[in-house]
Amino acid sequence: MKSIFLRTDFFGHLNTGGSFSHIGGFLDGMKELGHSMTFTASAECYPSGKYDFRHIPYPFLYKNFPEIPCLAYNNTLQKHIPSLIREIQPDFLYQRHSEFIYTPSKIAKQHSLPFILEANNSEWWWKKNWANLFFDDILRRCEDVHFHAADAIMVVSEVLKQDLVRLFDLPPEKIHVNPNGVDIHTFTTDIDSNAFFNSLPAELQQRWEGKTLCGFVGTFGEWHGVEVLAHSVVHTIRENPNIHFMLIGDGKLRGNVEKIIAENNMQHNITLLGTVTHHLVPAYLSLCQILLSPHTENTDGTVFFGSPTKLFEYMGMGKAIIASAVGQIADIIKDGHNGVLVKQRDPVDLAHAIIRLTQEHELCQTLGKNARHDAVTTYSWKHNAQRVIDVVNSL
Amino acid sequence: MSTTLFLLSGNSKNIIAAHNLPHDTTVIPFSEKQLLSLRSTISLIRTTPTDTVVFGMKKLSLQRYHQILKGVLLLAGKTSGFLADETGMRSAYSPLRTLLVESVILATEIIASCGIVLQAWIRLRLRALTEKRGAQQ
Repeated sequence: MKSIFLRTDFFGHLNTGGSFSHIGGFLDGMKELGHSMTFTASAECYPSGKYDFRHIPYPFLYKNFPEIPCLAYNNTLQKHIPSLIREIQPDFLYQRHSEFIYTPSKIAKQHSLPFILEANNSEWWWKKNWANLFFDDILRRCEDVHFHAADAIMVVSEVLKQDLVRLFDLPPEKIHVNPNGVDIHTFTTDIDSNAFFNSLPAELQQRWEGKTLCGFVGTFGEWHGVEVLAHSVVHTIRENPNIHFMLIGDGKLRGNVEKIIAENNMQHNITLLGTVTHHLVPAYLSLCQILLSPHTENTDGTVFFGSPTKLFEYMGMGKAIIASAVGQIADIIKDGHNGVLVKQRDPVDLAHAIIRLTQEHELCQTLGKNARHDAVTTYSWKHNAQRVIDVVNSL
Repeated sequence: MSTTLFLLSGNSKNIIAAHNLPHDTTVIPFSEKQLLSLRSTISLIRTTPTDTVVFGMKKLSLQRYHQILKGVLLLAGKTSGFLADETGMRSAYSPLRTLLVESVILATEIIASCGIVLQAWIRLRLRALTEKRGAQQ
């Protein structure tokens, strides 16, 4: 099958974070299945030549006001996509939903192509709750029109499916749940962690030598639970000062985490690595005995609707996982089988689980082995891509 | 010559290293939100005792408000400064260019933006109407 993947957000340059892994993984999965997918974005964020990439830049003029560039990008897409369709002759059009983009569904209809929309949230809901939204009514209408016009919508979780049905009065049968996935060849148990440790700067080696490492990767968003994690460090090291925390990533709440660390004088028990090149993340994780996913419910009290890429990457690493029992995480992680579930927003419960696992080495190995098995058999990107192909075939 | 880095995003150490800024550069955390209040931002920049003002960010190409930031420098009476990112890219500031070129670009953008919003508003209403009618038939 031939198709076109449209990445339409303003931040096409971004080469870290869940969206970067998600898109790359999905494109790899399609390739592995033998399908050809042309990838368009406002910038090339993957190594040149890895995918059939077409650059569709954001218009030069709109740089000073929020939201306007995205609205203007609809015109840019309207100008570029039809000629690309004529050239590629795709079997379907696939778009990763982003704010204020509403033309791809119309273009697909004009060319009688099935249109699959991958929605990882409602941008309208997200911006209303977590960011600044200037054109409330327009964004609401963009999503309403676009969601209704799509032939199928792929969402990452059942919670998100129910949210979209409720918010936009969509027929449930056109929304398909497709959890995120993992590159099982990159996030693997085969990494030589000793060799990697020896290649690290002397300062890090001294810091981590002989310690039990607990790792976290994330963009420090509201839902990542990084503040809970920082608070749990106090409780953990009180019981076992040999435990050390390694946090990979950067983002909005990093300042809060640094403040909690400073207030509790925990600088020696936690390392904030900041943003790490994507290909080094598995190597850092391989140094850890336990990996943490302390997600929280949404700030407005609604259920967590995400499908954290990190969770599947942790599973691929074959490590013991401690995760909050929220949303889809509670379905993927079966307590005591492929990980340990803890109460969300409870640093004490998280600390207890960490201390317990550091004392039960065998349990850690069993949990990791089962998690890796689940990643390989169900949550690889190939499986993720296959679920999309199945939906296209059913249209 | 003193330098002050107003940090919008990214890591101040990386920006200082990438642009060979003086080691005694003063770093002041700054956010896009502050720009919403232009008067207080201009006052902040004006009252900061510094020769060179640098707006620092993770990536220049991902940063909005280029012209507005330069306009703020102009209105604050600063003659030396630039926008700088972690990768070593920079966008130069000159009062004359800001006055004669950047301000025209900004004015054009404001007019075009109004058009874009209006266009989207009309298109979405029309689409909602036609597609609803199509679904009913």
